[in-house]
Amino acid sequence: MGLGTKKWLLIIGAVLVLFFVTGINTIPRLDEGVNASWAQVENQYQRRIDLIPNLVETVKGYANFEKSTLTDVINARANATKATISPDMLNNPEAMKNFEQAQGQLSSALSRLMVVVEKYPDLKANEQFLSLQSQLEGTENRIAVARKDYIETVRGYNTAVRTFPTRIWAWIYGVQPKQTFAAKAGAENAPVVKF
Amino acid sequence: MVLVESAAAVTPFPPLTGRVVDNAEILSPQTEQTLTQKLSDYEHDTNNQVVVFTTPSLAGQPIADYSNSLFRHWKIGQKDKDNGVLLVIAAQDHALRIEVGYGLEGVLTDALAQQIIHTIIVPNFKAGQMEQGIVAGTEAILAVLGGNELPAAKNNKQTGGPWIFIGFIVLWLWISVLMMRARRATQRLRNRTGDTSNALAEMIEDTAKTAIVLSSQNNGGNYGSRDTGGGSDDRFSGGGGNSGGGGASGRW
Repeated sequence: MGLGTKKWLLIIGAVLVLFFVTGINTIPRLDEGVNASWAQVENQYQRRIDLIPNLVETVKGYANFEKSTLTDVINARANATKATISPDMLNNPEAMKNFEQAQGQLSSALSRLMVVVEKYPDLKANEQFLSLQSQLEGTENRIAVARKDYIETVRGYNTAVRTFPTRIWAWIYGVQPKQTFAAKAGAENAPVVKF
Repeated sequence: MVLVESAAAVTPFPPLTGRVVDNAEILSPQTEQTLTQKLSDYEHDTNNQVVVFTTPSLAGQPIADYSNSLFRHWKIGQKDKDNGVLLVIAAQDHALRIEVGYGLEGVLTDALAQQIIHTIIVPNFKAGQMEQGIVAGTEAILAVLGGNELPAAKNNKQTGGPWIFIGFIVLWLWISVLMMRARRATQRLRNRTGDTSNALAEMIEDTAKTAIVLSSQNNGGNYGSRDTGGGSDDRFSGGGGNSGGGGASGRW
């Protein structure tokens, strides 16, 4: 009987040791991955924000270009500039919602601008504009890729936080699942950049 | 979104059978071979990996998503440089894309990729010259990556021709001068000191000869220098490169 309990204690001890040795880095490693992919998301959104002043300047030059469309873009840009999320806020649903909203507004303001541009053949032929347009399209595409990567890394992280045995580590570290993108918000507002 | 993504992940990617994967059967075997050779030589010279891919259909996927996934699946470009470019042509969808790896985004910018598509590839495609469009487009990509101006739509062939020719002449003159000097030096040494410094003279001559052999090897092609390249691309594979969605798409 004594031998039996000893054996069990040994097994439990071994399992515990194994657990501590293998699991200790999982959550921090995944956390770093999420932060890195989030940084990429913000980079790309920032890149879009940086493109807008030039775009507005180019479009403005065209006589009687609809003012309201431009003002919408400028305002939406100002809002989006304010809505940034630091990595430690990634588990905050409210912050994520604000971010999504601000960027979504900018997306739809930009897509309206692109629709209005269709009415101005001169502008559409302007080389500066064409270059900006292709940069904007490229940036939207990079945003899509960065979002996809972010969703992917967060999925890995959240799975680790919610499942055994890494769940214990998550509990020890006191970490929460991270917010991911609601797929619909992005898809809905994705601007259609036409050529 | 989750459903769509997992469905996309399930769709099998075609195997990377070479630098030119012509699944839509657009290119003639001859063109495919010369293009492959060109891309192979290009990688040997610059380390950049450029792959051309044609497919009959995208099965309903947007070309930007598909190209990025395929690029990542094939891992085009070197691992720490991400210096790959993938040209995708979807024949039935009438869509094409130049997907650019992270490392080359600064050289082959979105605007330049866009320009290649709209001024070089699409006009050819619209005229029904698929093969020519692909070849000219690929050449334009290589030209831009090499830091050259984008070739004009009309004379998109042989932009580097005269320069390469002039380069050869300069090299040839330089080698001739080197040889003459070496010979003179040898002669002088022999005349002045007789046999005593023959060893030194021979050494100088040998050095000159080695230089000549080396430089002619550099220009005469890569045979034997690296086993991955040359004519056959049997063992061609991606180098672990990544892309974040750089480049441009177009339609025709």
